[in-house]
Order: sequence, then C-alpha cells, then structure tokens
Amino acid sequence: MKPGRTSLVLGMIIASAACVVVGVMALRPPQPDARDRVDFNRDIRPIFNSHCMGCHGGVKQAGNVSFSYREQALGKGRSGRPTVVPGSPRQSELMARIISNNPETRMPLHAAPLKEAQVALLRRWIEQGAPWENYWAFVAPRPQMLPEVKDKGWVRQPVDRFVLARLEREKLRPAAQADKAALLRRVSLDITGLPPTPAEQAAFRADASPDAYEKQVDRLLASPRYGERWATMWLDLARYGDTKGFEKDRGRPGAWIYRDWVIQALNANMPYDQFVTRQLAGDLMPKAQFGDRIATAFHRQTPANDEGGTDNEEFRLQAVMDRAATTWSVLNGVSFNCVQCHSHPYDPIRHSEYYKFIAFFNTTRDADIAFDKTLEEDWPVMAVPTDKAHYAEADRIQRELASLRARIVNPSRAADAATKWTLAPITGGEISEMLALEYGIGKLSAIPASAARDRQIAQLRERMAAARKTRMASGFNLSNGMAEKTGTVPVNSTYILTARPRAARITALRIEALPADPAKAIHSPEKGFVTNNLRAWVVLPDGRTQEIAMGMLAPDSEENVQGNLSRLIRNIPAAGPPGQVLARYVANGGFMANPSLFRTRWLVAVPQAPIDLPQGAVLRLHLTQTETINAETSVPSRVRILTTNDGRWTRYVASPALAADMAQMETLERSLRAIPSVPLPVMVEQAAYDRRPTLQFDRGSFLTQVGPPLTADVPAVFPKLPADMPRNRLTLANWFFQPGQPLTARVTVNRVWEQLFGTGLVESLEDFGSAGELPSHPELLDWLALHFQNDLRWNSKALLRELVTSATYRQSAVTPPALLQRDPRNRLLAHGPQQRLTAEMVRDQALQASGLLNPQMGGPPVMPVQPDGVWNTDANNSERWTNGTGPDRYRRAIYTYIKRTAIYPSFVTFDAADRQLSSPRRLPTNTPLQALVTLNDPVYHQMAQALAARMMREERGLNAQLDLGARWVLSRSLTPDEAAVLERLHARGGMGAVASALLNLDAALTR
Amino acid sequence: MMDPKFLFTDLAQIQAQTRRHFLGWGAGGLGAFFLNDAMRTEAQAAAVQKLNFTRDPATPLSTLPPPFRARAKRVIYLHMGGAPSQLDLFDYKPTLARFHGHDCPQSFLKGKRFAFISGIPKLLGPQFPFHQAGQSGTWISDRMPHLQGKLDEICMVKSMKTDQFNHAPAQLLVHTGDPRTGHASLGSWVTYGLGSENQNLPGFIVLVSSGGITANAGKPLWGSGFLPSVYQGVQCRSAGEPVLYLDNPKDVSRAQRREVLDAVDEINRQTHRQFGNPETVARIAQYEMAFRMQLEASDAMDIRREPAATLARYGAEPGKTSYANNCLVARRLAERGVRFIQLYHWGWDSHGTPTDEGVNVGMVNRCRETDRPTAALLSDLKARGLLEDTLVVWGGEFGRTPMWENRGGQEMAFIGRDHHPSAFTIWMAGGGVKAGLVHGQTDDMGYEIVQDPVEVRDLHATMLYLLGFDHHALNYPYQGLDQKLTGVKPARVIPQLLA
Repeated sequence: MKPGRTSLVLGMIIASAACVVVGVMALRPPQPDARDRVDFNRDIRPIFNSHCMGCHGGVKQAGNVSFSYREQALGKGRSGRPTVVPGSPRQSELMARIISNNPETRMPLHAAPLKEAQVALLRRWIEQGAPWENYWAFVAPRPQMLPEVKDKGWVRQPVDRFVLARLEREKLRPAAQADKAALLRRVSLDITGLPPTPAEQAAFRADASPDAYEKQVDRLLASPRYGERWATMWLDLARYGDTKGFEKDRGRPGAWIYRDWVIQALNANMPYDQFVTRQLAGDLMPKAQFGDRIATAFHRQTPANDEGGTDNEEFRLQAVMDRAATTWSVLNGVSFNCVQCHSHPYDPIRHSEYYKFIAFFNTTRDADIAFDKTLEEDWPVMAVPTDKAHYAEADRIQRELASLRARIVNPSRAADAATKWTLAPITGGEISEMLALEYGIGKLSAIPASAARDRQIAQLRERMAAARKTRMASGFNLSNGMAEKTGTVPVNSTYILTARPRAARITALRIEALPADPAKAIHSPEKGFVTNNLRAWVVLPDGRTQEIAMGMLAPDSEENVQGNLSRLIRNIPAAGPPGQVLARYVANGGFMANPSLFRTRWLVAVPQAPIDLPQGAVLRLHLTQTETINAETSVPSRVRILTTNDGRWTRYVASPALAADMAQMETLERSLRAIPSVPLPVMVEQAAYDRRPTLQFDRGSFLTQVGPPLTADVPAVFPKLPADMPRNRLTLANWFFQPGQPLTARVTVNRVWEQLFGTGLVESLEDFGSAGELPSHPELLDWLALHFQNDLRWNSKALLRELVTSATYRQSAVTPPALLQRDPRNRLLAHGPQQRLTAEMVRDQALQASGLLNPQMGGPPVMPVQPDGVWNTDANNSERWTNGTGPDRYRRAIYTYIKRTAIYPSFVTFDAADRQLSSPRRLPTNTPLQALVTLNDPVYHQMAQALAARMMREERGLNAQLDLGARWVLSRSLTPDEAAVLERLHARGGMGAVASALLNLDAALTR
Repeated sequence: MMDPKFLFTDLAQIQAQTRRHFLGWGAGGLGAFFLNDAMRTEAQAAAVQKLNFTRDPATPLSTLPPPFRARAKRVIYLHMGGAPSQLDLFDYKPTLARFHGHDCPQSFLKGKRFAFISGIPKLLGPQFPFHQAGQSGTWISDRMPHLQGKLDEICMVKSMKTDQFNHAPAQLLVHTGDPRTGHASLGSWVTYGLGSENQNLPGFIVLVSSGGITANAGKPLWGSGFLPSVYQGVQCRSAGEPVLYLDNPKDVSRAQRREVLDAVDEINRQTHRQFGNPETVARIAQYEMAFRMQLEASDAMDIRREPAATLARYGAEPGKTSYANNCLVARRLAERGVRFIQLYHWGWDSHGTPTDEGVNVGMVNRCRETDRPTAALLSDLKARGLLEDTLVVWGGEFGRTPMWENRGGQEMAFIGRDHHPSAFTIWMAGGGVKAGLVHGQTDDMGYEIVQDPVEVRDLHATMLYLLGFDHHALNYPYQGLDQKLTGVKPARVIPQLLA
C-alpha cells in the first residue's frame, strides 16, 4: 500500500498538508469578486474542513455542533443557541464565536482566529441563506463544452482543448512533440510494459506516413502484452496474492487462475462495466458462465489468518469489511474504512450506512477455514482445471452438483418442517476418547497405505496409550432433556448419549446441536462443530443392544451434504456399487456447523424401517468427532434428540429418486476430482435458510453488535438503488455503472490518466472525498468521465488510445528551468510525462534486452532466483521458495509468486505493492537499495552478462555493438557524448561493464 | 525548555492557576505537547501543528531535528517473538505458586477469549526460583543471571496490556500500532520523522535471529505501510551478505564497479542537462550513496573486527546467525548513527506442545541465548556513553496465562502457558527512562492488572515522547485521516517512566 500524497517530483516525502493545499490553491480558478454569490463548495467547505470539522464533524461533535450536514449546522448546540440561522448572521452562534474576543469561547478554540476574508465569506454565506451543496465529487459529472483555444493546430484530441485552454490562461505554451524514439519508448512501456525492440524502433523510424504513430499505438493495443502490463494495476487494487497472508501465510494454489482471468479480460478488451460487474457479482449474473464465477475471486483475495486459536468469525468479518472498503476505494475513490467505528469525519457518510453497505457482502458462504478435513481450505472453492480444455466439463459437473445438492436438501428440509417432533430427553451421557480414537484408526486403516497415513495412525495409537492412563474430567450437564458438555473435552471424542423416547414407534430421529444464546448467535456465532460419525442402538431393558440400520442421514443444508460426500470420497478411495450409495453415505456421515454455529444445526437420522421400542427400551447414540476446525477441537456444546413416528420419513428413505441422486452425486464428484484442477476461492451466496443478519457494530467492534438487522443499501449521499431489484451484489454492481452515479467513471479515467502522466487529475487517486485533493482540471475530468461512460461505453482500450494519441501525451519531457520553478510537478501539463519504470518494467526490460525473456503467458506462478533466507518467515509453514530452473526463471514479473509476507525482494525495493490491502497508488521512492538491485542482484548481473554477449554476437565493431545495447535498453541510439563515455568504459572494463552501466542509466530506469 | 518532571508533578496546580495563559501559550505548540491527553481538550488535540517532513528527494533520510527536546536519539528494540512468560521471568507470584495444580477458578474464565485453553485448566505456578536484585530490589527469576546485574539500569513495566490474543495481530499492534497489516511500523515512523544520522546506511535496520525465522507476522512488521517505502526496515544479516545485493558480483571488483558508476554518473549528468528532470539528480545521488553503503554496511556488520574479549562478553561467534551476534551488530550500528535498530528473536511461544515450546525446555534455551548478550549490550552501550541517548526496549507481543494450557482438552507434553493479552511485562533502558523503576502491578495470581495499566499505544506515545515527538503531530494523511502510530483511541505518555 503506497499511496499518500506528495508534492515533489518523484513523489518524495512530504506530509505537510499546508504544502499540498498551497499547491492546489495555485491551480484553482481565481477567487470570485467580493460581491459575487458565495459558492459553498469553493468558499465555505474548505473553511469548515480545515478549521472546524476536526472537532465539529462526523467523529467529534463537540458541544453538539457539527458541520457534516446542513441540518446539523442549522441545529442548536449545547449552549441552546442555533449555530447557523439562514439569512441572519447576527442570530448565528457561528458568527458570534468566530469573532469573539474571549479566548475561551472564540473559535477555532485555542488556535489562530479565522482571517477577516474568511469571516466575511461566512457572513455573506449566511446572509445569502446558507445554501448547502454536496461536495463536488458526490454530484454527477456535468456535461462540458470543449473550451475555445487559440492554437487550434496543436489539438489532436478533445482532451487537448482542456489542457491547452488552461495553459493559454496561464500564459504558457505546450512543449514540442517528443522525438520519435522517446515517444515510442514511452507509449510502448505505457501500453505493454516493455520497451520497443530495435526492429520496432526501426519500423517506426522508417514509417513517414502521417498516422505512423497511431499505427504503433494500435499494434501495441493489440499485443497480448497489454493485458500483462495493465493487470498489474488491477491486481494491486484487487490485493491479489498467491498466499493467504498473516502468520502462516500458506499458499493459495489456485489464485493464479484469477490473475490469468484479469489478463485475458483486459486483452479481450472487456468493457470496464462488465469487467467489474463480473468480479463483484459474476456468480449472480443470469446464465453465469464459468469465467464469470472465476472473476468473483476478486473479492476472495482477502487475507486469512490460519494462526492457531484465532476467532474465525473475527477474520471472516474482517474479510467482509475489506470487501466493502475495497469496493468503495476501487470503484469510487471513497475512503470507507473509517466509517466502521464512527460517522465519516469529513464526508457525509453515516456510521449506520457503513453497516447497511456491508450487508451486501455479509451474505456469502465463505468463512475463515483452514486445515479442515471436511470442507476445502478457503471454502467455497471452485475446482478449475489446469488445462482449459477441461473447463466446459468442470463447469458442467459443478453446476450439476450444485443442483443435486439442492435437490437433496430441499425435500429433507421440507419433510423436517412438516414433521411433528417430540423431545426424547437425554437421560445419560458420557464422553469417550477411546471410542473416537478407535474410530479414527479404523477409518485411516481403510485407505491405502502411505507414510502420512501411517504417521497419523501412529499418533492416534500413541494418544490411545496416553488416554488409557489419564481420564479426562469431562462429561455432560443434563437439563430439560438436553446434554450440555462440561469440563475439558478431548479433540477425539465420542459422545455416548442415552435418550428416552416418549413414543413406542420411531420413523426418524432429529439430532440437534444448539447455540447457548440463539438470539445472539444468529449475528455473533458460537464455536462450531464437526460430528463425523453417528451410530444408534436400541437398548432393551435387559441390557441387550440392537443397532439401528440407518437408511439416510437427511441433511439440513448443502454444506452438510457436501461435507459428508467429501468424507465419503476421502474414506473410500474407489467408487462402490451405486445401489449402496446411501449405506456409504450413512457410514461416513454426520453434521456440522463449520466453523461457526449461527443457528441450531440438525440432522435427521432415518432408519431403513420404523423402529418399535419394547416397553422400557431406550436409545443409545454415539456421536463421534475426530475432525478439527482450524486444527482445533470441534465438538458440539449442546445436543438434543427428538423423534417422530411420521410415516413420510420411511417413504422418503425408500425413494428411488433419492438413491439415484445420491449415486449421481458420488459419480460426478469422483469424476470432478479426476480432472487435474486447482481450487479457486469464489463468491457463493448463502442459501436463504442460512442468511445471517447484519447489525451495526458498536464503535466498530464485532463483539458488540447492536440494533435491528439492517437492509443492504448504499449511503444516502449517492443515487438510490432501483426499488424493484433485489438487494444483492449484482444490483449493487449495476448501480455503480448507472447514469448519474457520480464517481465510477471519474475515478476510472483518473486512474488511467495517472498511469500515463504520473499524477492523476485528482492526485489522491484513493480519496475523491473532501479530505482528498481537488482536481487540477475539473472540466476535463468531467468531460472525460462522461465521454468514457456514454460515448466510449466503458471501452478501456479506446480510452487509452485517445489519451496516448493526444498532443498532451506526445509532448517532449524536456523541462526548462523556468517551467520547473513555475510548475514543479507538471500539474499544468506544459511538458510531457517522464516516469520511473515500475518494479515490473525494470525486470521485464532487462529480460528483453538480454534476450532471456520467456514470453510464455499465464499458468501457475513461478519462482525466479532470489537469495536464501528471504522466505522462511514462519516456523509452522513448510512451503519453501525453490529457485526456478530453466525458462521459468525468465518469465515476466507479473508471473512471479506473490507471497504476502515476503514479496520478491527486488520488487519491494522498486515500490511494488505489498498486496495486503487494496493499493490504489504506488508511490515511487528513491533509495540506494534500488541501485544495489540493478547493479548486484545476481539476476541483473546475469542479464547484464547476457546483454553483453548479445551485443558482441549480433553486431560487429564497437560502435555498432554499443549502439545495439542502447537500442535494447534505452530504445534509442547513443548520443556521441554517451558513446564516448561507454567506449572509455569498454576499454577499461569490457562489454560486461558497459551492459551493466546501460541497465543502470537514468534513461534506462525512466520512460 | 522546562523540565518535564516538574510539569507533570505540578500540572494540576499549574492548570488551576494559569490555565488560560498556559493554553494560550501552548496551543498547538509546547504547552499542548506537555499536557497529558487526559488533561487536554479535544480542541487542543486537533490544533496540534502540522509538522513539515519535506526533504530533498536526493536525501530522503536526511536528518530532521525533533520538534521537541529528545532524550533518545535512537532506538534498539529487542522483540522477543512468541511472547515470553512474564510469570517465569519478572512478575513473581508466590500466591500463584501456592495454588499450583488447583483448578482455575471459574471467575478467571467467564467472558474471556483464549487461543487454546478450553474447559477448566489447572493453575501453573512460577517454574523457576525468583530473587531480588540490584539497588531497586527488583524481582527476577534465575533464568536471567546476567540481566539481574543490570536491573538498576532498567525501567520495568509489569502492567502492559493489549487487545490481541493471536501472534500475528498482536505483533502487528506492537510494531505498527494496528493489528491488521498495511500500517507503518514504529521504525518507519521514527526514520520518517527524524531521518538518519548516517546517509551511508539504511536508517531502519532489522536483524533476525533464531535461524532467520522472523516473528509470526513476517515482513509487514517492519513495513512502511502507507508511508513511502524508503522508510521500511531493511533486513540485514549477520551471516552472508549483510544487506541483500550489497556485495558486488564475484567477478566484479570494487575498482571495476567504480568505473561503471563513473560512466553512469557522467551519462546521467548529460541526461539531466538535456531534460532538466530533478529526479535524475536524485538518481545520481542514489548511486553514490549505494557505493558508499557497500563499504560502510559491510564494515558495520563485520563483528570480526571486535576484540575477542568483546565477542566473549556477548557470546558472539562471527559467521553465525545468532541473537548474540545481532546484539553486537546493534551496538555497532548505534555507534554509526542508525536511527532504529530492530532485533527479532523468535521462539518464546511456550504452549508446552513440542519440546521447544515448553516453559521448562524451549524457554530455558531462549533465556540462555538472550540473557548474556542483552546484558552485554546494555553494559557496552553504557561504557561507550551511548546508553543515555539510546532507548533500548525489550518485550514480546502479549503475556502468558497463569494457567497450564490444556489444548484440545489434553495435558501438554511439556509445561506450557496460553496467550494472555491482559498482562505482560516489558522493560526499557537508557534514552531518558527512569532507571531502576518497576511500574504497574498485577494481581496475586498475575492474571489481571491492578495498578497503572499501560496500553501498547501508551508505550508508543512514550517512546515518541522520548524521541522528541508529540505522537499526535507525527502523522501522515491516508484514507482521509491523519494516520498516527498511536491510532484513534486516546494514548498517553506515561510520566512515571521518564527520568
């Protein structure tokens, strides 16, 4: 995360807000005449923001006074006097306070008084009725006339009119056009991230046609390198990484599928609105395609904490809140995080509106799952084949599985709801570790031998020996027919429960795991459980027992179907006869709340035939837990048993459709697993019966949730959601692109502008709110936003083409000293941009120059050479960096493995984003460590050597050889002075020294 | 400048008599700074002046004077990753010893969140003999035989608390002021605010021992977060290349390197004459600095230059990666004007599961690895006159429970304690802290703080105070807020800790 703001060229280190404000003031239109109408946004809001809102804003409302909203400003403070009375400065306490002579009452308190001009502005504003306006950024862009300019011949694109009009007003002239070599280097790196090859340079030099440059631009936009370059920007925003982050930082082996989706979508020039909508809500789109589901991995890039002992709900909510904040920051440049704890300090977003918004994201199934044997890591994940040829098949199977799961759960839930259940009070219970260990060993023994299996068996046997000696002080409290665990329950534990049914005939048993506080658990869940085996007996009065043959374990949710099926397939490696699928399912079945218990979970165990209990007989149940949740104990805390004699269950269990569906599901699941695939975490909505409500968190703490459940909504300062659409992510995604949405298009064009010119029209890319910067060219920003949205229909390549073919972009970067003094940061755009290469470009350019570049696209991330010891961050993670061998060492930077806690060192040094949180902006810095990378990193040393060899191999004569090197690295020929320096260096240090020098030149590191 | 002690002790009186005058003088400036937050109004907090950290782009680490008188010029932070057991080292609890082996009272468990303890654990008394040492008579266990001789230099805080009970978030809180990743680390803030006194070395250096394993949260612990990345910590190694890519490739001599740099320099000057981009000037300076850093960093990290007696005092062995070596390197870096030196020694996570996580095994080893070098570092700094303006901080990320951990309901193979955010012990030395002081107190079982709780943000505020900052004024705009190390909850400078 490297945004922040700077006011020196090269983004060096400045944090003085004063400086920044001055910088913007200088670029503002002249102040209005004193008798003019006061403009709230231009004249009044800045006074409030810099002098008042620190104490009287969204966070602090000292003396009950706030200037966040007009109705607050017009209200009464604690003194009882109205703060602002429209039309009457004399009755307005605001005026009395700012002109008071008493240092204890004068505002701003204990600070310098407001300037006379500011006091006058406030007075006039009140006289004029204290009109209020939303901040410019919250008002939709207004259509703009193209400004009149004198030098019409200079203009190549409409944007040039805005830039030139401003320059003419400032009495400045634009710079001459950059020479062909500089222009081709700039535009090649900007569009594809790679400099032009000598052949491309020669072709452009030789092309004398008037549209020679445009032809180059079109060639570059059509290159697949375009997607690789622009994906970097998007992946920074998406906080893409190949690991989960935090302590263990274990890998996410399928994450790269999403990275490749982004590259392909960009190359296919998917319109920006669709690009975003698919990522936010591809799963909810009508007729969602496989690729649309892949795209939703955007919001599954949130880090997860696999550290032992963490609160799973805490990190789930952290991810949910990150999704909300990232959505706002990426799409609208609105800082949303601070609203978690209180109303926005500067912008009109209320505390409650934050929670209404996160309700859009609090409905997905994902939870903080790690080390789980029942559900896959990062569940829900989609199996994505590593070979695209299998995409269609994998897609088909997974869609069929989803509908099968629903087909199995729906009748089960319907039958359960229709059944009249009667409590069978639990009259006895104990906890056995031995039984559970025996069960675990038995299951392991059934699967094919392997070192890992044998190790696990040995561990369980060891534990068994220990358990024989010690007895746990654990058991149950029995009350109201329910068993509640007490004491310390072992990880492997079988609950032995005795229940006394009230009826003599039993067609089904309902086993329930209940939260202690159901009303609270629904939003603040309790610890979950995984019961992975269930057996039941009839115990006759004489003590003899008879096991009940179960026909089916009717599930309460798709998670439970999936969990049992996963276990079945893990425990029984080969497919069995279809006719016995129910028996297999029952033998490996149980139920769970994983990882958290939001509401009562249940399982209906249906005997193959009704049970008739003799007088005095009781039921005995074994509920076994040998699996863990995030490597921890996973026993249910409270259990109840109910029974029924409803005959429907007997018919249910005998239904041929059920058996057929189950058999089909097993077949499909096994064939899906046979396709070589990687798991990609994706967004999946919760089933209606599992929806969690979203409440407001008191001061941002998830431990204290208050108030009624909230309906998902957007903050009121924005346009309303369509009334007739469901409040879900898809409606939300569409809303961001509807006409009248004030920020989506502005933020997007601004981001592209920043990539090309080094500074956005709004410098604070990440903050368009009133604490951010004002636009340097507000009319241009609005025009470009509307143009992109309405004329170009969100066509990103078309936007890029228009910008890079503008006269503004084509200017030379030469900066005369007078201009540098006048406009040190080139906000007026009187010369062309010159930017340092990004971390990725530094690597890719050297790879291309040295001839080592492996152009292969896509696929799993690679591990180019890095020094030992960079990666062993945590003792509990055995994953290691293995220096690549062969061509994988020389892939483009974007394919490098991104470990969140240990980013590839040379990228970090060149300011790559850390991929922890969404990074809206990279801030280029300047440190000697960068020089050490390009001089000494063995990777760069090798590339310099290879470049030297190429120079000597491909050209004859020193001059030609030096020039070839320059054309590869600097994208131009050497000047005579440069050539002279390099000749001298060659004489002393040879070609290797020359190649190294070339790669370290300022001209090589900039574009 | 007024004596802060005077100000704090008599503050109430001063306030009563001259509040108006005092505030008038101090608004946004000196007065506001010396007022503790509890006593200052919100208006004042908001009125703190913006500081200007602008620098020449060519020298982003150039020294800036501290806004107020600094007692410490640099920091050596000894982080004990995994959280050492305060109950077996510093916070002596004879009552807990008496109840050793008893079931933990229900009142301890109600409403608490633990990482691993479940059901009803047993109480676990101190595992090592304690005694009093030094003029101050401070309690210490026999696991720290060398440190015991330094107790009169040390200012111990037994009442630290945190709100995080997992390693990664708790370490992030200690080092960045926030439990999530993405925030600027303590060392980054300090180098951002003060720069560094030696332009040929990184201003913020990180040294990691225990086999190169960092603390749980990894490199984000010394990341620069939203601050420019030039302020992130630079990890140096005491074995091999001291800074990544510091050494020239094997087939390139220093003279050859100089020739390359001369050529680069000359061409870059030509480029600047042609384009006039100030960034080019910055790059010219950057390459010269890199060349000097190659020598200076190699020299600073090379402990073979130390006399044998010094090596022995630290227990340092050149060529190894060890905490002892890192302590010695830390002193050498302090001498050379490095602003913030951060050591990580991981392995204090004494749950009692495997051998190395036993209070009775792993922790004993950690003590053996760290006790001698830590004491030697304090002595050495003192002998060289560096201790008075070097702030040394020792501590982990949280404490450990007075209960014997019973993970998953099992008895642990070794003696272990679970994570305990409610109370832990850290100590500081040098740099303007009150030597020989013990601050804060926990209850007889060492479970809860009963006197003078100190939040992590209070520790940060106090450290920044010693370095010459008002923690409010050391801020950086990001995400619509002026971000601070001490965050949004009120943080206090703890006056009792100041000399």
